[in-house]
Amino acid sequence: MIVKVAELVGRQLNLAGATFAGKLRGQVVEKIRNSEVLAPLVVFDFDGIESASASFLKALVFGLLPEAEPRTGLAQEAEQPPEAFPVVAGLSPLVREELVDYVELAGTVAVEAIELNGEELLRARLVGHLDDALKSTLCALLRKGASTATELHAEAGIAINITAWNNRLSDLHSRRLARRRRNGKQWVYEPIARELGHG
Amino acid sequence: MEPELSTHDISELRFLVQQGEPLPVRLGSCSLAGAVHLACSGWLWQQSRSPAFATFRGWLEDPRLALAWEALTSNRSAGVDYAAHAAEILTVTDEDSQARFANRFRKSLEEIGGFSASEARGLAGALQELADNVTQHSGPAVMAPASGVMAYEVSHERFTFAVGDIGRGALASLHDNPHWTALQSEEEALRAILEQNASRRRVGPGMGFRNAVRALADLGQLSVGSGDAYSDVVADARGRTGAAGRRAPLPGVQVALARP
Repeated sequence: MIVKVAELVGRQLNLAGATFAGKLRGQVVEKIRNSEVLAPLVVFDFDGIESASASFLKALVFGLLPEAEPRTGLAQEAEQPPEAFPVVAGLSPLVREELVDYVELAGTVAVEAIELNGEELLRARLVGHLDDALKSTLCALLRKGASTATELHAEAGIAINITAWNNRLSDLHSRRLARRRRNGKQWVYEPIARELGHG
Repeated sequence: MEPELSTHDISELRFLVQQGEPLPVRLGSCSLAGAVHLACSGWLWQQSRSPAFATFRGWLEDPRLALAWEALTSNRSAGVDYAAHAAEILTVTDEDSQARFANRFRKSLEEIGGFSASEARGLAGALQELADNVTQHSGPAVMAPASGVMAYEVSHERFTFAVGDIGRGALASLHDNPHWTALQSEEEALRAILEQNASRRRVGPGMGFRNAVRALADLGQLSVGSGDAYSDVVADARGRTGAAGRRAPLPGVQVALARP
């Protein structure tokens, strides 16, 4: 699903405010709910946007991640978004600057799309910080393709037990860097893009 | 010419009321930030049925204060234009109004203030974030914000903007987030917001004030007040200096950024 932010916001070129971004996110969530694709890739294309504040990006893009909203307050605020895989594209230097500021401060990562084939993300880069354990897990997944924790454990042959692999893979999924599907009692994980660089 | 009344002068007026001391019948002119603080103080005196409110009504001859009071207590909204204005004092309403307001401020900074496009963009973004903070954090939920005022003034190479509300304040807002429930005072809450990017939201740091601090650049004054605490940052050629402490209690959060 490609979301052209410039079309979503009308005439505005400089975007700020969590309230505004939250309303736009509501429109995107509606599209996701009405989509026939389960857990879709959502590409926020910022082409044509001059600047977007970190608060705006936090509410729009990172607001699609699980646990992005407080549990207190109105039920509307507490509702979790449907599963989706947000990525960004078409970043101007100012939008990128705010994105980097946010991910560095939050100790999190964003995915920037480099090459798409329709709805499939072929190449992307990570913006922000990913700790070494998650980075190596993601590398293993990129190398091997769709895998379970058991398979990665068997291949790695190092002193990381299956539970640890499971935890790391689950963390990658909750950061929306890896997709997963059930296969019997196990989850099968695969990276969000075929190629995923850093920086 | 007498100096304009600052936010600290307005705090002194509230101290006088607290101590049962008489208020002056006439006041000097308020600075823009002072007017926003005084309007919030007037609301406090009105709500608490303090006799100070009658004196306050007499002060409404000050045009800035009159506009700030009107903006706080009724719906003072502007048209949909994007023209530059030397000054505006409006009610914080919806995000569209905030965006137009910020755009007019940006244009005013460029056309009246002579600021560069990038500086104007950064300052307008900071103002919009702070106005949005009223919507986001002044009430118990985003759908129920407290009344608020947003204002700016621009002249050649100078500006002030101010945002104030009469909501629950920084401490109560941060207590929505389990990570910040240990905060004990408004002073601690302001420090957490300004130095640690504390946020009411459970995930991710708060970014709204960060833009304002950054917009200070190396020349300007930022003042933030919440409840019974304030925090000031002054940036000049020698660097940044900060001062924080107690003020006479005032509901809500008030913020001002100026290059005087």
